[in-house]
Amino acid sequence: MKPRVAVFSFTSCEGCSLAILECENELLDVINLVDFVRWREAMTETSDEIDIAFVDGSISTHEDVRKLQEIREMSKMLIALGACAHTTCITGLKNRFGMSQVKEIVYGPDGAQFDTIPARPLRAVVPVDFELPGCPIDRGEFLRCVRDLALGKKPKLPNYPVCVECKRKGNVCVFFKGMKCMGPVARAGCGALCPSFGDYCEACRGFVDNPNEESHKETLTEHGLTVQEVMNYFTLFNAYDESQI
Amino acid sequence: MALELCQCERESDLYVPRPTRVTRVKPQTTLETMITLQFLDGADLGHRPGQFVQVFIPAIGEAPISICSAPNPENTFDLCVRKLGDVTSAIHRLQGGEVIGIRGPFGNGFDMEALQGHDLLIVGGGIGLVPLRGVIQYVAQHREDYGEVTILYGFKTPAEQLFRDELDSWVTEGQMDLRLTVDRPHPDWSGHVGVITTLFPDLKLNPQRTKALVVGPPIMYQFVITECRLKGLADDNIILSLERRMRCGVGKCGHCQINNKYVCMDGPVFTFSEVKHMWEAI
Amino acid sequence: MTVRVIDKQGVRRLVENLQQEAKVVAPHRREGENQWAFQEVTDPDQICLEYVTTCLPPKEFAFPTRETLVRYRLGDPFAAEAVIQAEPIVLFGVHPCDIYGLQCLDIAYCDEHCDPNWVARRAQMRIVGVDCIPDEWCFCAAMGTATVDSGFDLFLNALGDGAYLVEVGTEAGEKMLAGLELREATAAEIAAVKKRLTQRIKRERQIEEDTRNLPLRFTGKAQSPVWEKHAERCYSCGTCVLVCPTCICFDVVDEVSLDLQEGTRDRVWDGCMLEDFAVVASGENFREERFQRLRHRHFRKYAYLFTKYGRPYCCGCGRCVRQCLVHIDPVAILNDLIAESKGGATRGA
Repeated sequence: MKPRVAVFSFTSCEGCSLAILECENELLDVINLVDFVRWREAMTETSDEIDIAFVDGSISTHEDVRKLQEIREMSKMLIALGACAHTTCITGLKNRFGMSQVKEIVYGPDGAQFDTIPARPLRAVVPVDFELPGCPIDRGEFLRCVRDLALGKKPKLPNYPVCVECKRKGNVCVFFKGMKCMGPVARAGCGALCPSFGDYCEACRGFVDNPNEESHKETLTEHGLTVQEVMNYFTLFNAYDESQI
Repeated sequence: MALELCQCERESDLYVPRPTRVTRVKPQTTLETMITLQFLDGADLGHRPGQFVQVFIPAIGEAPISICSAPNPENTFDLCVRKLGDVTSAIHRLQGGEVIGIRGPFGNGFDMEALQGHDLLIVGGGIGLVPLRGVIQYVAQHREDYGEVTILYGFKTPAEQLFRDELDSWVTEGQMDLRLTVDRPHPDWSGHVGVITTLFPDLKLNPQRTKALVVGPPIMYQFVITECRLKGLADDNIILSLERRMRCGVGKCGHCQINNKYVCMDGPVFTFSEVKHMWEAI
Repeated sequence: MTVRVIDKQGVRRLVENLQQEAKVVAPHRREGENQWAFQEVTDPDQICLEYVTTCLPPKEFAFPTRETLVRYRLGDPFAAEAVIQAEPIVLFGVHPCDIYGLQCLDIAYCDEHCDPNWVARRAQMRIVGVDCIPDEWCFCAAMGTATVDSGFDLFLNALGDGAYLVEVGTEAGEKMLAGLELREATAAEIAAVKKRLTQRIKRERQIEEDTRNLPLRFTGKAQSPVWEKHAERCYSCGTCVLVCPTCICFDVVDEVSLDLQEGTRDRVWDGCMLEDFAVVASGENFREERFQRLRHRHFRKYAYLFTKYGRPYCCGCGRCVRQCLVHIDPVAILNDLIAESKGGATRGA
């Protein structure tokens, strides 16, 4: 029996669930491995019997909390899909402000009626079996994850930084091109996508298990960033801080 | 030609797993299962007890696993694995009859000829007994070549005991002194209780004649080695098998290196003399 | 053996001749200041023989960053076969340090078991060496790799104006020169090259010890404070091992097609500085701390493999420290160890 798969979205651009639909060449193979039984963006049918739930988006309302708990109840396995679900991505930037202030800024004087709470990753609300990082997710990584689950393998993320993938590609180090980069502390798996195309890494996939953050803050400072700029580099995609909740 | 050094034969199949049939599956505990394997072409693995093979499960991957049997006339060999990662979990799903892949045997294994004429103290902690089962079978096959054989086998709970239906034959047919212990008291256990070192005070060993073969979790080594030394065994006569995660098995990939030794080539069997100055060993 | 002179036009013709029979790979400029890489030659005028060093060492042409070792079809039984892909290739413009690096891998890959993929590629590889331009990080002189007397088919030493002295290392090298009608070098030209080399070696960074004694200087250094001191800012990013010409380690990963019909076992560059390198099946990590990994790397290069194979597994190219964002420097580490060791001896005496 093929695993029954559902896709859900919370606070996000839904680009990560869209990224699944964009696996155009592979979708036929994917539906040979799994049955999609619920996915608002892609189908009208719906089901509550779910083996694997892919959930994108951060959790940022009380209603989200309740819904996510429901999804957890009905799913054997729950996988965070993309940076918002994994680190809160940029949705976590609002956590630096008070919630009433946030409502005021976004909605004006009538904002108070809206339900909002500090954004949190899925794992802060329910147990999560696996997290597919990235803004957006790496499609290849998603496909490998589905394949591994179908084969009874545990999906795995690399625990080495983006530098490894830059080196394996022979990229000139971003720092040698005069830019600053989060590659030395950021979790690889994207194939060093941004540095390979002339940009720098912003750590959208979060950090390796044991990043040498102090060292990297020093490095960024040595390369001319102010303390505030260093903080911005560290928090753009990784703003979520348990202590602010 | 730039390459002047290589005089060796090409080993084009160095990394290619050989198709091997699972002829039998024999679950051991909730965590461990044992499979019996035979090459499709019926060839002999040609191994020594204590060597390992690289087990390849198609579509899943490869992992190094200790061989847990002695060579036999049927040319079969046994592997007993704990469910830990992808490959071992896939081994646990085998029903029998499947074809999986094998590379090897690799490593040095126990030098059974060098052990001839000696008393043997075989100490297995938990799944450390797995590679030692091959030694025990080998000794039983060549019983007259060895002196007194004492087996100490410790496990956490009675449910974790391996090779239950064979232990009696080790004592009766193998004429070995088998002593079991569980770490803590348990309602299903009437035998000796305590960590494996608590079996040592009652042992009568001739330190000049005895070779100790010790395999277990890293934490066990220090304590058992101390007991062996207290019994008067020289460090050369304390023999260990170390675990690392080899990728290649042939001394290239670097993963199994402990100080200056490759476990896959120089080990996994070492004397304590060899490893006592290696700070990464135990 | 006579030493000949090849001028700029001759170099161009040499490359074009080589391209008739093989893929020719040579250093090219890349974006960023002082960045080069070995790339396949499409236009011989783009070759840059006057360069400091490339990002990746030339080992990638015999040990690609990722390569398939085994291909198989699933089924009962599965069918697996070795994948060994080699083609004639000329590495044009390889520095002595990198030639030494290739030789290190020859030794390690052919020790006891012979790595079929490495050997197949190396068997079809020709090397044209070239003298180098060291920068502030190079320490080949200290490692004894500023020159090599083997490991190349031809070796070029710059005379200026795009002309080079040509030294022939092998018969294959001699054949490469066929039809080029080169003149013999004058004694003055040979002397000038020798003088330049001597001066270059003097300018380079030095290790305060005869290289042959390095394994001895590591004796008893497992607990030295040197390791923690130099590892403090280490990222464990693996850059130093991945750009190292003498590093050999790899991981093997499994790929299976999405239709579950076929799969491959691929090796990818790996390195002992990465956190999970020494993790075993039970989850235990035998080198959990950064300093333990840094220590292992240096013991391996200057003690373990040095003792095993009789040569340091470091070619002094300086890529590790040059590309390290926090400049963890083997020369500084070695000199610290040597100072500590000598200081200890004095105190003990």
